[in-house]
Amino acid sequence: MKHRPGLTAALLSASVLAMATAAVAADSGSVLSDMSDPALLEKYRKEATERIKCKPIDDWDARMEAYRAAATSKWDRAGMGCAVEYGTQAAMELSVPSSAIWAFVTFRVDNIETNLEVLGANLEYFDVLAKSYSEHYQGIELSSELHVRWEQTRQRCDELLVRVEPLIPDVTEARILRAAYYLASTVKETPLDKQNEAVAKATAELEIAIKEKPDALNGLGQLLLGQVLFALPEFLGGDALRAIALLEEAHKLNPADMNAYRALAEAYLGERENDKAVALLKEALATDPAGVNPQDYVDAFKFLGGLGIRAGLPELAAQFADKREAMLKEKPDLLARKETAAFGHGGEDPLTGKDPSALK
Amino acid sequence: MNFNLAFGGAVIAALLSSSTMAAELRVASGTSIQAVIDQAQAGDTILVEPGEYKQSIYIDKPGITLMGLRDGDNRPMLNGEKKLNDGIIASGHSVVISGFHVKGYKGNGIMTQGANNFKILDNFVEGAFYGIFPQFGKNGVVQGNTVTGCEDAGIYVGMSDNIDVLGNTTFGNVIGIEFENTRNALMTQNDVYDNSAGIALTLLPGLPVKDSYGLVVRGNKVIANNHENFAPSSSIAAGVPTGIGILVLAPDEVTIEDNEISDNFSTGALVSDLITFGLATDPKIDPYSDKVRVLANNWSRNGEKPAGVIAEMLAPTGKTGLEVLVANKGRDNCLAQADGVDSLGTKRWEACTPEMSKATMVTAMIAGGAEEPVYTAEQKGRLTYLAVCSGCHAYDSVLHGPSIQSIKALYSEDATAMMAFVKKPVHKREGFPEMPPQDYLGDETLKAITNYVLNELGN
Ligand code: HEC
Repeated sequence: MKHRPGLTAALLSASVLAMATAAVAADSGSVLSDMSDPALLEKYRKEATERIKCKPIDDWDARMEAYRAAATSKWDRAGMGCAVEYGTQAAMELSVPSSAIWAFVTFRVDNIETNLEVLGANLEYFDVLAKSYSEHYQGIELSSELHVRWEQTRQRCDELLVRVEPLIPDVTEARILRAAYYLASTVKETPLDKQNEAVAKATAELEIAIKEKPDALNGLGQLLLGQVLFALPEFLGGDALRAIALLEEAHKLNPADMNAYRALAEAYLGERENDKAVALLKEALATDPAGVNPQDYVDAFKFLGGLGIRAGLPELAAQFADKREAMLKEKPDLLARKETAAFGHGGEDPLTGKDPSALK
Repeated sequence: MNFNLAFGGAVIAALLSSSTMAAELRVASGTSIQAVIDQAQAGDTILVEPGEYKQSIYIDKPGITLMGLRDGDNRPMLNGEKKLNDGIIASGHSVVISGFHVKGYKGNGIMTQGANNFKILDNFVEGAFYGIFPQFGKNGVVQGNTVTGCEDAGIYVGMSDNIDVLGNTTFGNVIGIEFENTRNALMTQNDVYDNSAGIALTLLPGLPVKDSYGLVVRGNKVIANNHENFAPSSSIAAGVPTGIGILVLAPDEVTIEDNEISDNFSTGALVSDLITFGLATDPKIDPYSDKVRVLANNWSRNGEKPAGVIAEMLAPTGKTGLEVLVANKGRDNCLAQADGVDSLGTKRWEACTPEMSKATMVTAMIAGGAEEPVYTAEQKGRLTYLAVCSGCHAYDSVLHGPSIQSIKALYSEDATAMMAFVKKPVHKREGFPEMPPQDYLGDETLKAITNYVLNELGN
């Protein structure tokens, strides 16, 4: 694969106790319990399904073209959603050989690549969706749309994975992407036991993959495994020091990856290695934006600037802010991701009017 | 002599004004409490006779005491009938709210917003999302209340400083008592039972306050908090594990001492970082708890039947019967070593020392009280929007009502019309409930809210 999907692994966190829980019907008469009425949810989900339908495209080349045009438009949830749908449809029409050797013999390596690439784009889309949830409480209209999009993305990935699966013993990249799928697809809209299962399956796969081919997908295996091992408590197999070693490797293999910066800087701060964290933040600040998806760039710079504040360096945070603002100005379509309030939580500080995530 | 005369006049004027300042007003059974508050002067006491009041109340003058008069078991009942959003909202400093039975509200039972030196005493609050919810307050006390049936926290101190929570009873809530993004607070002599989780000390992401420290939980009864978690699945509280006595989620400098902690099925105390809860999304927040001190407590029969997520978490370890479960990479934490205190995840923890005890701490409040800044119209607009409107409106989505984006589109040119609607809503949208009238907030505040919504929010 020439291009590895720049998976946003920062959100592929192995949340052991994450927020997903089995729904228990509440009937206190609160606004939130009103909003979890199954009939109402059904209605909003139906509406969302209609609203987000993509215009059908019949021609293979036109689908591929539509896919390429917007598959990385992470600032456009609707546009990118349709692009990955077209890409999936196109990929599903390509015949995929059942083994890698057979692929070389029959000159269908490109077909494998297209399948994996489109799978990668779908995984990235999970992350775009995950970032669209508000930090605290969702309104029913938005949460219904995100739910529908999530399930559709899950389904597309399942279809692509059926075709990719036979290749996994031969193609480490495919193994890593399947592990990434386990993690990315369970970040939201997933009951906790399934999340834990996904983390366990992904961990096992990633351990194999990084031995098989350490530089596959420029260290994506190490990046994902490092994050999982950092997130898990020690008594469940977590290992902060090994996690840091893996994340350092991932960073070395792909120095432009914003997610490696995020994960590694966070891990350094967690281990109280502040000097290393600050050096890494400074390195990240010098990233050439030309080599990064612009939405990833502004998202990462907001996060890294925030880490700078936590590390006690407001000047560094201000530098992240300046570069981020310049990019937002240059590309006004990018999302600035300002949170607004629901249920008494979120939004700006009511006393100062300041955005709590502001970097200066 | 002129000088003396003038002096005498000033004294008399001061006496006069202090007597008008300390007036006592009375609300006759079932009549409008808000009407009396609107007439009251700063410093007045308002006595409310027993009876039923289907009202929402807003207090933004300083020094108001709103007191329910009891007649045996009979006290004034504020009843939202599952139609009104909030029982009492107060942003006036030095407010005292006492002696009410509050039930049937869709949002908050009793909320203070930006009120310093507040007192919330001896109320009985049923249901709602948050029962008693002081937010953005400095120096306050919540004492002697009973709270039940809340889908989130019964008593919920949010983003506040120097708060005492004393001698309350909370049961049948998702969380009994919570300190959230709060600094320097004391929780003591409370009776906390049959909630999903008894006590929660949390530092949540994405809020204006980025730290939480100086929390003391001492001498409470934290018993059998095993209630099924009935928070709607989309709420943050839905992620709270059932069967927990005390949950510590990311604050620093926490002392847990001399509590009776028993019969909590999952674990007596869970100390976790935000990563474990999938909540480490705010880079400005240190997701780990440092300096958590679990001193001598009276533990019995905790962790015997782990439920839900805790069961999941413990399954691979084969452990049960834990007093203290830790999934947190923080530093300088300690546990008082004692027989029968089983713990997991405490490898890096030390043994506590006697001088860490907070046994002699009497209050977290500041001697002399907190300052009482006068809020500007902008601040009032934001505070009240957050307290009231955000309970039903979100910026970019339908919540209970339409999105703010669509409201802005409707009223961008006509603030007066928007205010008129908010005061006396008419039913417009099919498939939507009716919006309850917000006239109790008064013209000045409504104007500030309207201005905030149309000219600031989301811009
Ligand atoms: C208890 C829930 C609730 C609260 C609290 C609430 N609203 Fe509403 N609001 C609604 C609902 C429901 C509607 C839709 C009503 C309809 O269309 O019949 C609505 C509609 C509106 C509209 C639309 C008017 C129109 O002409 O279409 C405005 C403006 C509005 N609300 C402003 C506010 C403001 C400002 C506040 C805070 C002071 C507020 N609301 C508090 C539930 C609420």
